[in-house]
Amino acid sequence: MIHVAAAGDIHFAPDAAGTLRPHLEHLGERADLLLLAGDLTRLGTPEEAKALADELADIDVPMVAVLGNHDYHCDQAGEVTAILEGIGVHVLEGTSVVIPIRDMTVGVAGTKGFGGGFAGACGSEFGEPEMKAFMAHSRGLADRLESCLSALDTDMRIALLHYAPCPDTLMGERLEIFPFLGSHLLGEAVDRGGATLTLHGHAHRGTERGLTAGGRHVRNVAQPVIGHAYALYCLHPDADGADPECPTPATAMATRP
Amino acid sequence: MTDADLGALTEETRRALAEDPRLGQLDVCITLRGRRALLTGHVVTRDRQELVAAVVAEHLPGYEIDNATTTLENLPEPPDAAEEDLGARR
Repeated sequence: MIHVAAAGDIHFAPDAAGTLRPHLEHLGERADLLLLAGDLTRLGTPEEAKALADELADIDVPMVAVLGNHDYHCDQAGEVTAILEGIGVHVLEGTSVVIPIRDMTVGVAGTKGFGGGFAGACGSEFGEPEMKAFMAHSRGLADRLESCLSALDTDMRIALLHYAPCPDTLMGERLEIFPFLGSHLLGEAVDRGGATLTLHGHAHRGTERGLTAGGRHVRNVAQPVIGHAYALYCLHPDADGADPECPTPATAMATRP
Repeated sequence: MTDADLGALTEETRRALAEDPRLGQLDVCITLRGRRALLTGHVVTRDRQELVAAVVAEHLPGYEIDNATTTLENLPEPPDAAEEDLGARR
Protein backbone atom coordinates (compact mmCIF):
# COMPACT_ATOMS: atom_id res chain seq x y z
CA MET A 1 0.00 0.00 0.00
CA ILE A 2 1.05 3.61 -0.36
CA HIS A 3 0.26 6.66 1.71
CA VAL A 4 -0.64 9.85 -0.12
CA ALA A 5 -0.60 13.32 1.39
CA ALA A 6 -2.63 15.91 -0.50
CA ALA A 7 -3.66 19.52 -0.26
CA GLY A 8 -5.07 22.17 -2.55
CA ASP A 9 -5.76 25.87 -2.50
CA ILE A 10 -2.73 26.85 -0.49
CA HIS A 11 -2.85 30.35 -2.09
CA PHE A 12 0.73 30.94 -1.04
CA ALA A 13 2.47 34.32 -1.08
CA PRO A 14 5.39 35.87 0.80
CA ASP A 15 3.06 36.97 3.61
CA ALA A 16 2.55 33.28 4.48
CA ALA A 17 6.29 32.43 4.56
CA GLY A 18 7.14 29.92 7.26
CA THR A 19 3.59 28.63 7.77
CA LEU A 20 3.77 25.54 5.54
CA ARG A 21 7.29 24.23 6.01
CA PRO A 22 6.90 23.04 9.63
CA HIS A 23 4.09 20.67 8.59
CA LEU A 24 6.08 19.09 5.78
CA GLU A 25 9.59 18.73 7.16
CA HIS A 26 9.14 15.12 8.27
CA LEU A 27 6.41 14.19 5.81
CA GLY A 28 8.35 11.11 4.71
CA GLU A 29 7.52 9.49 8.04
CA ARG A 30 3.82 9.64 7.19
CA ALA A 31 3.47 9.65 3.42
CA ASP A 32 5.13 8.37 0.25
CA LEU A 33 3.96 11.17 -1.99
CA LEU A 34 2.73 14.76 -1.76
CA LEU A 35 0.08 15.89 -4.26
CA LEU A 36 -0.87 19.55 -4.65
CA ALA A 37 -4.24 20.23 -6.29
CA GLY A 38 -3.80 23.73 -7.70
CA ASP A 39 -4.19 27.34 -6.56
CA LEU A 40 -0.72 27.06 -5.19
CA THR A 41 -0.31 30.84 -5.25
CA ARG A 42 -2.50 33.88 -4.60
CA LEU A 43 -2.15 35.64 -7.97
CA GLY A 44 0.26 33.45 -9.92
CA THR A 45 3.36 35.66 -9.73
CA PRO A 46 6.94 34.34 -9.81
CA GLU A 47 7.51 36.03 -6.43
CA GLU A 48 4.70 33.98 -4.89
CA ALA A 49 5.94 30.79 -6.56
CA LYS A 50 9.42 31.44 -5.18
CA ALA A 51 7.99 31.85 -1.67
CA LEU A 52 6.23 28.50 -2.04
CA ALA A 53 9.33 26.85 -3.49
CA ASP A 54 11.29 27.95 -0.43
CA GLU A 55 8.76 26.10 1.74
CA LEU A 56 8.80 22.94 -0.37
CA ALA A 57 12.52 22.70 -1.08
CA ASP A 58 14.10 19.42 0.07
CA ILE A 59 10.85 17.87 1.29
CA ASP A 60 11.65 14.17 1.63
CA VAL A 61 8.89 12.73 -0.60
CA PRO A 62 8.18 13.09 -4.35
CA MET A 63 5.94 16.07 -5.06
CA VAL A 64 3.44 16.37 -7.90
CA ALA A 65 1.26 19.41 -8.60
CA VAL A 66 -1.18 20.95 -11.01
CA LEU A 67 -1.85 24.66 -11.27
CA GLY A 68 -5.20 26.27 -10.49
CA ASN A 69 -7.03 29.31 -11.80
CA HIS A 70 -5.25 31.63 -9.35
CA ASP A 71 -1.90 30.44 -10.71
CA TYR A 72 -2.89 31.71 -14.16
CA HIS A 73 -4.14 35.14 -13.07
CA CYS A 74 -0.99 37.13 -13.92
CA ASP A 75 -0.36 35.23 -17.16
CA GLN A 76 2.92 33.87 -15.80
CA ALA A 77 2.00 30.21 -15.42
CA GLY A 78 5.14 29.21 -17.32
CA GLU A 79 7.38 31.01 -14.83
CA VAL A 80 5.43 29.59 -11.88
CA THR A 81 5.85 26.10 -13.31
CA ALA A 82 9.57 26.57 -13.93
CA ILE A 83 10.20 27.77 -10.39
CA LEU A 84 8.43 24.77 -8.86
CA GLU A 85 10.07 22.33 -11.24
CA GLY A 86 13.38 23.88 -10.24
CA ILE A 87 13.01 22.39 -6.76
CA GLY A 88 11.84 19.02 -8.05
CA VAL A 89 8.05 19.36 -8.14
CA HIS A 90 6.49 17.53 -11.09
CA VAL A 91 4.03 20.10 -12.45
CA LEU A 92 1.49 18.39 -14.69
CA GLU A 93 -0.81 19.80 -17.36
CA GLY A 94 -2.15 17.19 -19.70
CA THR A 95 0.83 15.08 -18.72
CA SER A 96 1.63 12.28 -16.32
CA VAL A 97 4.47 11.02 -14.19
CA VAL A 98 5.30 7.53 -12.92
CA ILE A 99 6.74 7.34 -9.43
CA PRO A 100 8.24 4.12 -8.09
CA ILE A 101 7.44 3.54 -4.44
CA ARG A 102 9.12 0.48 -2.93
CA ASP A 103 8.06 -2.44 -5.20
CA MET A 104 5.13 -0.57 -6.75
CA THR A 105 4.54 2.12 -9.33
CA VAL A 106 2.11 5.00 -9.00
CA GLY A 107 1.03 6.92 -12.05
CA VAL A 108 -0.29 10.44 -11.62
CA ALA A 109 -2.04 12.15 -14.51
CA GLY A 110 -2.81 15.82 -14.01
CA THR A 111 -4.63 18.77 -15.43
CA LYS A 112 -6.06 21.97 -14.07
CA GLY A 113 -9.33 21.03 -15.70
CA PHE A 114 -12.03 23.62 -16.20
CA GLY A 115 -15.72 24.34 -15.68
CA GLY A 116 -18.85 23.69 -17.69
CA GLY A 117 -21.15 22.01 -15.21
CA PHE A 118 -22.63 18.62 -14.58
CA ALA A 119 -25.25 16.34 -16.08
CA GLY A 120 -28.53 18.13 -16.66
CA ALA A 121 -27.08 21.60 -16.15
CA CYS A 122 -23.97 22.03 -18.25
CA GLY A 123 -22.83 24.14 -21.14
CA SER A 124 -22.27 22.98 -24.69
CA GLU A 125 -20.18 24.08 -27.63
CA PHE A 126 -22.95 26.16 -29.16
CA GLY A 127 -23.60 29.82 -29.89
CA GLU A 128 -21.10 32.60 -29.41
CA PRO A 129 -17.42 31.98 -30.06
CA GLU A 130 -16.70 32.71 -26.38
CA MET A 131 -19.07 29.97 -25.24
CA LYS A 132 -17.72 27.50 -27.73
CA ALA A 133 -14.18 28.34 -26.65
CA PHE A 134 -15.10 27.90 -22.97
CA MET A 135 -16.52 24.44 -23.50
CA ALA A 136 -13.87 23.39 -26.01
CA HIS A 137 -11.19 24.26 -23.47
CA SER A 138 -12.93 22.11 -20.86
CA ARG A 139 -13.36 19.21 -23.27
CA GLY A 140 -9.78 19.41 -24.51
CA LEU A 141 -8.34 19.21 -21.01
CA ALA A 142 -10.63 16.30 -20.09
CA ASP A 143 -9.75 14.40 -23.28
CA ARG A 144 -6.06 14.85 -22.58
CA LEU A 145 -6.55 13.63 -19.00
CA GLU A 146 -8.25 10.48 -20.22
CA SER A 147 -5.43 9.78 -22.67
CA CYS A 148 -2.81 10.24 -19.98
CA LEU A 149 -4.63 8.01 -17.48
CA SER A 150 -5.28 5.29 -20.03
CA ALA A 151 -1.63 5.21 -21.06
CA LEU A 152 -0.41 4.60 -17.51
CA ASP A 153 0.76 1.02 -17.00
CA THR A 154 1.20 1.27 -13.24
CA ASP A 155 -0.04 -0.45 -10.10
CA MET A 156 -2.17 2.56 -9.21
CA ARG A 157 -3.48 5.54 -11.17
CA ILE A 158 -4.25 8.88 -9.56
CA ALA A 159 -5.94 11.81 -11.30
CA LEU A 160 -4.80 15.17 -9.96
CA LEU A 161 -7.05 18.11 -10.83
CA HIS A 162 -7.95 21.58 -9.66
CA TYR A 163 -11.54 21.71 -10.93
CA ALA A 164 -14.02 19.11 -9.71
CA PRO A 165 -15.02 15.98 -11.66
CA CYS A 166 -18.33 15.41 -9.84
CA PRO A 167 -20.95 17.46 -8.00
CA ASP A 168 -20.71 15.43 -4.76
CA THR A 169 -17.62 17.27 -3.55
CA LEU A 170 -19.19 20.65 -4.31
CA MET A 171 -22.01 20.22 -1.80
CA GLY A 172 -21.97 23.32 0.40
CA GLU A 173 -21.24 25.62 -2.53
CA ARG A 174 -24.08 27.58 -4.15
CA LEU A 175 -25.70 25.52 -6.89
CA GLU A 176 -25.56 28.53 -9.25
CA ILE A 177 -21.77 28.41 -9.41
CA PHE A 178 -21.35 24.66 -9.99
CA PRO A 179 -20.61 25.24 -13.71
CA PHE A 180 -17.65 27.39 -12.66
CA LEU A 181 -16.36 24.77 -10.26
CA GLY A 182 -16.06 21.67 -12.41
CA SER A 183 -17.19 19.55 -15.30
CA HIS A 184 -18.79 16.17 -15.89
CA LEU A 185 -16.26 15.76 -18.70
CA LEU A 186 -13.52 15.38 -16.10
CA GLY A 187 -15.58 12.73 -14.32
CA GLU A 188 -16.05 10.78 -17.53
CA ALA A 189 -12.31 10.98 -18.21
CA VAL A 190 -11.57 9.66 -14.73
CA ASP A 191 -14.01 6.77 -15.18
CA ARG A 192 -12.76 5.78 -18.61
CA GLY A 193 -9.14 6.27 -17.59
CA GLY A 194 -9.53 4.06 -14.54
CA ALA A 195 -8.23 6.31 -11.77
CA THR A 196 -7.94 4.66 -8.35
CA LEU A 197 -8.33 8.06 -6.72
CA THR A 198 -9.07 11.55 -8.00
CA LEU A 199 -8.06 14.64 -6.05
CA HIS A 200 -9.15 18.20 -6.66
CA GLY A 201 -9.51 21.57 -4.94
CA HIS A 202 -11.13 24.86 -6.04
CA ALA A 203 -14.37 24.47 -4.02
CA HIS A 204 -13.55 25.96 -0.63
CA ARG A 205 -17.05 25.47 0.75
CA GLY A 206 -17.45 21.99 -0.67
CA THR A 207 -17.30 18.51 0.80
CA GLU A 208 -14.30 16.20 1.05
CA ARG A 209 -15.74 12.89 -0.18
CA GLY A 210 -17.50 12.05 -3.40
CA LEU A 211 -17.79 9.59 -6.26
CA THR A 212 -17.79 9.93 -10.02
CA ALA A 213 -20.81 8.64 -11.97
CA GLY A 214 -18.85 5.40 -12.38
CA GLY A 215 -18.28 5.10 -8.64
CA ARG A 216 -14.63 6.12 -8.45
CA HIS A 217 -13.31 7.82 -5.34
CA VAL A 218 -13.03 11.61 -5.47
CA ARG A 219 -11.63 13.79 -2.68
CA ASN A 220 -11.80 17.58 -2.46
CA VAL A 221 -8.56 18.47 -0.69
CA ALA A 222 -8.96 22.26 -0.63
CA GLN A 223 -7.43 23.28 2.70
CA PRO A 224 -10.60 25.01 3.95
CA VAL A 225 -12.47 21.75 3.35
CA ILE A 226 -10.03 19.30 4.93
CA GLY A 227 -9.29 21.60 7.87
CA HIS A 228 -5.69 20.36 8.10
CA ALA A 229 -2.41 21.24 6.44
CA TYR A 230 -2.93 18.16 4.27
CA ALA A 231 -5.11 15.07 4.05
CA LEU A 232 -3.78 11.50 4.20
CA TYR A 233 -5.04 8.60 2.11
CA CYS A 234 -3.99 4.96 1.97
CA LEU A 235 -4.17 3.20 -1.42
CA HIS A 236 -3.82 -0.50 -2.20
CA PRO A 237 -2.47 -1.81 -5.52
CA ASP A 238 -5.39 -4.20 -6.01
CA ALA A 239 -8.04 -1.49 -5.75
CA ASP A 240 -9.32 0.05 -8.96
CA GLY A 241 -11.12 2.86 -7.18
CA ALA A 242 -14.55 1.93 -8.44
CA ASP A 243 -17.35 1.32 -6.01
CA PRO A 244 -18.71 -2.09 -7.06
CA GLU A 245 -22.22 -1.07 -6.07
CA CYS A 246 -22.22 1.85 -8.46
CA PRO A 247 -23.21 1.40 -12.08
CA THR A 248 -20.77 2.06 -14.88
CA PRO A 249 -21.20 5.49 -16.50
CA ALA A 250 -22.99 3.90 -19.47
CA THR A 251 -25.48 2.16 -17.17
CA ALA A 252 -25.97 5.34 -15.18
CA MET A 253 -26.79 7.24 -18.34
CA ALA A 254 -29.19 4.54 -19.47
CA THR A 255 -31.12 4.41 -16.22
CA ARG A 256 -31.29 8.13 -15.54
CA PRO A 257 -34.85 9.40 -16.07
CA MET B 1 -31.99 51.42 -0.31
CA THR B 2 -33.85 48.83 -2.39
CA ASP B 3 -33.01 45.12 -2.52
CA ALA B 4 -31.62 45.72 -6.01
CA ASP B 5 -29.35 48.49 -4.71
CA LEU B 6 -28.14 46.24 -1.89
CA GLY B 7 -27.46 43.43 -4.34
CA ALA B 8 -25.48 45.70 -6.63
CA LEU B 9 -23.48 47.11 -3.72
CA THR B 10 -22.69 43.63 -2.43
CA GLU B 11 -21.60 42.45 -5.85
CA GLU B 12 -19.45 45.53 -6.44
CA THR B 13 -17.68 44.92 -3.13
CA ARG B 14 -17.25 41.21 -3.79
CA ARG B 15 -15.75 42.03 -7.18
CA ALA B 16 -13.35 44.49 -5.56
CA LEU B 17 -12.03 41.75 -3.30
CA ALA B 18 -11.48 39.47 -6.28
CA GLU B 19 -9.84 42.06 -8.48
CA ASP B 20 -7.77 44.01 -5.94
CA PRO B 21 -4.16 43.30 -7.00
CA ARG B 22 -3.15 42.89 -3.37
CA LEU B 23 -5.78 40.24 -2.70
CA GLY B 24 -7.33 38.16 -5.48
CA GLN B 25 -9.77 37.01 -2.82
CA LEU B 26 -12.69 35.01 -4.25
CA ASP B 27 -13.92 33.24 -1.18
CA VAL B 28 -15.39 35.89 1.09
CA CYS B 29 -19.15 36.12 1.45
CA ILE B 30 -20.57 39.58 2.15
CA THR B 31 -23.96 39.88 3.84
CA LEU B 32 -25.51 43.33 4.35
CA ARG B 33 -28.05 43.75 7.15
CA GLY B 34 -29.07 47.26 8.15
CA ARG B 35 -25.85 49.25 8.42
CA ARG B 36 -23.73 46.21 9.21
CA ALA B 37 -21.65 44.10 6.81
CA LEU B 38 -20.92 40.51 7.85
CA LEU B 39 -17.88 38.91 6.19
CA THR B 40 -17.51 35.12 6.25
CA GLY B 41 -15.23 32.63 4.56
CA HIS B 42 -11.57 31.65 4.68
CA VAL B 43 -8.45 33.70 4.01
CA VAL B 44 -4.90 32.43 4.26
CA THR B 45 -3.20 34.91 6.58
CA ARG B 46 -4.12 37.50 9.20
CA ASP B 47 -2.63 40.19 6.97
CA ARG B 48 -5.05 39.26 4.21
CA GLN B 49 -7.88 39.14 6.74
CA GLU B 50 -7.19 42.76 7.69
CA LEU B 51 -6.81 43.80 4.06
CA VAL B 52 -10.18 42.24 3.23
CA ALA B 53 -11.84 44.34 5.92
CA ALA B 54 -10.06 47.47 4.68
CA VAL B 55 -11.14 46.96 1.06
CA VAL B 56 -14.73 46.29 2.15
CA ALA B 57 -14.72 49.43 4.29
CA GLU B 58 -13.57 51.49 1.27
CA HIS B 59 -16.53 50.25 -0.74
CA LEU B 60 -19.11 50.36 2.04
CA PRO B 61 -18.59 53.70 3.80
CA GLY B 62 -20.79 54.06 6.84
CA TYR B 63 -21.14 50.32 7.36
CA GLU B 64 -19.90 48.63 10.48
CA ILE B 65 -17.70 45.71 9.38
CA ASP B 66 -18.15 42.42 11.26
CA ASN B 67 -15.15 40.44 10.00
CA ALA B 68 -15.98 36.80 10.79
CA THR B 69 -13.55 35.38 8.24
CA THR B 70 -11.18 32.70 9.51
CA THR B 71 -7.55 32.22 8.62
CA LEU B 72 -5.75 29.07 7.51
CA GLU B 73 -2.46 30.14 9.10
CA ASN B 74 -2.33 27.57 11.86
CA LEU B 75 -3.98 24.51 10.37
CA PRO B 76 -2.89 21.38 12.25
CA GLU B 77 -1.38 18.31 10.66
CA PRO B 78 -3.89 15.48 10.36
CA PRO B 79 -3.84 13.01 13.23
CA ASP B 80 -2.88 9.41 12.38
CA ALA B 81 -6.48 8.36 12.88
CA ALA B 82 -7.54 10.73 10.11
CA GLU B 83 -5.89 8.64 7.41
CA GLU B 84 -8.50 7.18 5.08
CA ASP B 85 -8.14 3.70 3.59
CA LEU B 86 -9.35 3.74 -0.01
CA GLY B 87 -8.20 0.30 -1.02
CA ALA B 88 -10.42 -2.21 0.65
CA ARG B 89 -12.75 -4.08 -1.69
CA ARG B 90 -16.10 -5.03 -0.31
